[in-house]
Amino acid sequence: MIDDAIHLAQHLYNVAIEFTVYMYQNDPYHVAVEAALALWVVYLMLGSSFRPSSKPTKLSRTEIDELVEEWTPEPLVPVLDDRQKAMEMGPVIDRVEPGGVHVTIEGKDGVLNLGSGNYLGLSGNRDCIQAALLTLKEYGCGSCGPRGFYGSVNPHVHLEEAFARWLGVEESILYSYGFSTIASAIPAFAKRGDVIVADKAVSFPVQTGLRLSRSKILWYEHNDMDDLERVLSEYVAAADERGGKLNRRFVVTEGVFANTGTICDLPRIVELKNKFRFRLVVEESHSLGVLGASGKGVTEHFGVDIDELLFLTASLSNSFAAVGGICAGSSVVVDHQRLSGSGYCFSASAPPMLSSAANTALDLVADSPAPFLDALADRVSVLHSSRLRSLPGTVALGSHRVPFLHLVLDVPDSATASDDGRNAQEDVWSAVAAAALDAGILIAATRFNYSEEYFTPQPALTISVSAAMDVDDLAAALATIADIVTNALTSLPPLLALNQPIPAIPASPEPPARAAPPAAPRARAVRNGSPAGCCCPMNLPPVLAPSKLVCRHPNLP
Amino acid sequence: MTMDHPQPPLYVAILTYLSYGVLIVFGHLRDFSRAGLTALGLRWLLRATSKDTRRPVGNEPGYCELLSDFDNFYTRRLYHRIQDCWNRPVCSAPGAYITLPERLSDDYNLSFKLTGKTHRCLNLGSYNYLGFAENHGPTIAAVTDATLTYGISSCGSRATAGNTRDHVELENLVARFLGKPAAMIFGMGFATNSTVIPALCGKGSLVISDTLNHSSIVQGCRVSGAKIKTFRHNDPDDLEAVLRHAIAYGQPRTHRPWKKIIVIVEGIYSMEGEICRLAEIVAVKKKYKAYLYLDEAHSIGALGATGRGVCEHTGVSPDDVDILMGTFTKSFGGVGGYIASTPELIQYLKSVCIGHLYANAMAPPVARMVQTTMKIIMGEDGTNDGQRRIHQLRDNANYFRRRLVEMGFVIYGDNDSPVVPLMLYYPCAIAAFSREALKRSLAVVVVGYPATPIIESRSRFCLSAAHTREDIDKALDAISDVGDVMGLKFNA
Repeated sequence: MIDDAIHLAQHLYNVAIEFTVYMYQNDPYHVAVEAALALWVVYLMLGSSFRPSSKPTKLSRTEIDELVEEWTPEPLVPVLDDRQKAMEMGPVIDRVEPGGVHVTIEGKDGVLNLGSGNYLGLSGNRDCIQAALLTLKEYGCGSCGPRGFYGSVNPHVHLEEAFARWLGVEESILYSYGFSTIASAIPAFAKRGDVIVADKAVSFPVQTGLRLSRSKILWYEHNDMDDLERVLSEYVAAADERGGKLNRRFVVTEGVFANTGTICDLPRIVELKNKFRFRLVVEESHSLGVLGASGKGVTEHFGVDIDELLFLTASLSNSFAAVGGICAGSSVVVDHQRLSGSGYCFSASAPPMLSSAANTALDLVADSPAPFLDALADRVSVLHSSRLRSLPGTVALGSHRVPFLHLVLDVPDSATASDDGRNAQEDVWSAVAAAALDAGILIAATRFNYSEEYFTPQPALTISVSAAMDVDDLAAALATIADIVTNALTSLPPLLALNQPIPAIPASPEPPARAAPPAAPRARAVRNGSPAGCCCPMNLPPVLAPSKLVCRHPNLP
Repeated sequence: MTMDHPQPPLYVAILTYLSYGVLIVFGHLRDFSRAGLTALGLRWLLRATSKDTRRPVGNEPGYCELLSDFDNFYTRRLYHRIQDCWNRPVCSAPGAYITLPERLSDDYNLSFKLTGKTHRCLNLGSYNYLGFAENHGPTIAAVTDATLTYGISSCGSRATAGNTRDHVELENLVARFLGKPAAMIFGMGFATNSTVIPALCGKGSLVISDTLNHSSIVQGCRVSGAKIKTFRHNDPDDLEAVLRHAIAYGQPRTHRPWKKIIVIVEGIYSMEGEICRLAEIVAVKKKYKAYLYLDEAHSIGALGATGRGVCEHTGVSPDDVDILMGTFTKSFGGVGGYIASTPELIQYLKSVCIGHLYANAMAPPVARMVQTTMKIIMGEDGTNDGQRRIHQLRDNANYFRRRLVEMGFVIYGDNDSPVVPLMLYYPCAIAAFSREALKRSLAVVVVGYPATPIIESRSRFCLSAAHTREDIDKALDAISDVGDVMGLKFNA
């Protein structure tokens, strides 16, 4: 009996040793960490639970009292400059007409809204409102809890299923806020020690995700595939040389860049990320519902298999005219975020009525995408064939397929690098937006926090179109904006010397495009990427938009 | 107010560690056998017997594992076994009662299928403190009206083209409600903390944060670049010690004086149910010239004679708190967050705060919802409905807490707090308590590590003004019953 017991014990001991050795050979870090954890548990059980800083106190009580007495903190808020004091919210909207095309601002009816991302005209859509109100009557307004704790109301679950079905992925996950979606999804996977290669033009929510991940961030020039290849190959070569354990590697891009309006060169990115074994994350807030034959975004646009992406994210505040964000991918990837996506776990879920509205919007698009996308395509072509595209003294950024356009001043980069230069540019666009509002058009000047951006974007005027707009109204409004801009350029502050001086404006409000020097449109066409280039993505000309991104931190990690 | 938590008996602590030991050993045994089968070339056997039908992602050859086995151990081997206790789908308003679709798993909790049956439960899980999570009444009419006026979303940020009349009016109302000169609203409570804190402090500033502050505060501090120190949970003496040390020795290495020091605390700690010792903390912060940032996510509406939060509850003037932050998700039945402070600070946020400049505006109908409920709380609807709700919540919370203590459960938190944690300790009790409660038609929230310290797993009840005394008695009977079955009445 005893012999048997000893035998068994010995056998178990041997197995344990073998297991440890096996584990050690396979993954020595694992064993080391486990051992450290075991020691740590012992330490926690034996030690007291909390120790204040044990730094030896060198100062006496009275000395500290004196120091406390002397210390004068800075004010909580820095002294505001005149600009900050005058900073206003956007114009106050009193009413939105069905379709979201016209709004009432300060008692002024019928203002044409060219300022919001309501690309498919679903804002104020009757079906969406109907669905939202039905949900309101059944579920009330707020969900009063995070998804984990009785906040997973049916409309949330249905919306997740609908998105997954529509996109052809295994699963999707709904965040309560668009901004937090990509900002939570990236750090759920990328950690300290990992590496993320990102496009220099990614918008702020993406940058937030990068920052929170604490991974090493490498940048490539905006949409420049040669530069991406260089960054990837240099990193991989250096990592191979260094040896050691493989880390997680990601490429992060946007489908349509919010800051530049360009479409990413997805097929090339996929080719490169596969070649160098990176995983791909795409932010699709401005491409989902816009690009592709049925609006499924940049993957459909290029005919790329959606499973090439680790996941995609999109805000629901643009095409789907609701509030929230969606992240879609494989079940493994989505499941992981249900425990690790901070904006998902630690935030209350969206009011169910918002999700119902988004679901109805999605159903409308999924059931018959053509009417929406055809109408949008017509408006997009009106936008990009308008004079705004070739206005002397300005550069229009972005692809001709994208339902918005960023107008920036054609000034040297130095004007964007300085505070004064940026402020002067912002003032120009604010004045244009104000004048447009007087003329019954709502457009928005971009608002950035320059000190938080990795790379300084150039102040711009953003003009967005919607499928629900009347084509003639739109064309007229675009002509009006062009006139206002032209007018504004006549009195630029000396700080903003244009790259190419504009000839004197004729007294009559003639279209000034005719008066432009012949060389200018060609130069601009190259700057913007030619229309042919946008339609034929494999043949993208070198995009010069990155010159509009002034690098402030050359040594950023 | 409680200073130190009641401690569990020693045998409970030992058994709790032992339980984790068993779970971890079995988890490793399963990993070991899986690794063994793979090593023996019997992967097909694993695949044939596995119920996991998900597309295998994240372990492609030549890539680093997306979710490393080690990081993922807790999720795979502990959480997955009991994940039926969370993310339960809901098919009703989260009022006093909540309807849960029944769901079953045939793959060991990897996925769930709805059976089509539903189960009506008493709701002790939602943050519906004042009972505004209801699908009838004046709030519904108001939200309907706003939806017809604006549609669902303004599709833009408030700084550009998404600003509506209701946003502006809500801001004015929040300032008036809180007795602050100015306020600003944000579309998400989490994003309020995570974007406002970085706007207020940066390199050279010091944030002194309560050890149990919410994840959004932690994230905001991390993004800000300020140095972060913590002080012992809800302990003004420790705060004073940390402040003295910080001012005396200045910044690390350079020993330059700190530019500014911001103390961040919460009104009610959502996992502890404890109320902030605000009066003492204000005295300390004044003495040391620090600034105070108070997160009232759980306390606004729920504390104070007229629902003005922890300031009113503790008799502190709102002027003594530099920044009041709160959310609309809980007491107001909406979504989003606010900051109330001086006009200069609000004006400053308008020009720099990320959550304002880049993020989409709050849905206008939700802004109307919050206005409506806030006016009811303030009595501006011409009824005493708001006062009635505040009293009902207080009565419910105190009665419920007192009875649980009498029964012999270990209960954390303070009187008047609508958050009542009941200690479970054992990891195996987490799922058992939730499932047993569900059998008795109680929807409860259970939490364990990492949301709590490893041996302090608990069930967290949230009381509501929507509960009647009969509801509460019914809940108490059921909890008592579960407590007897599971042996949770440690103080009996």
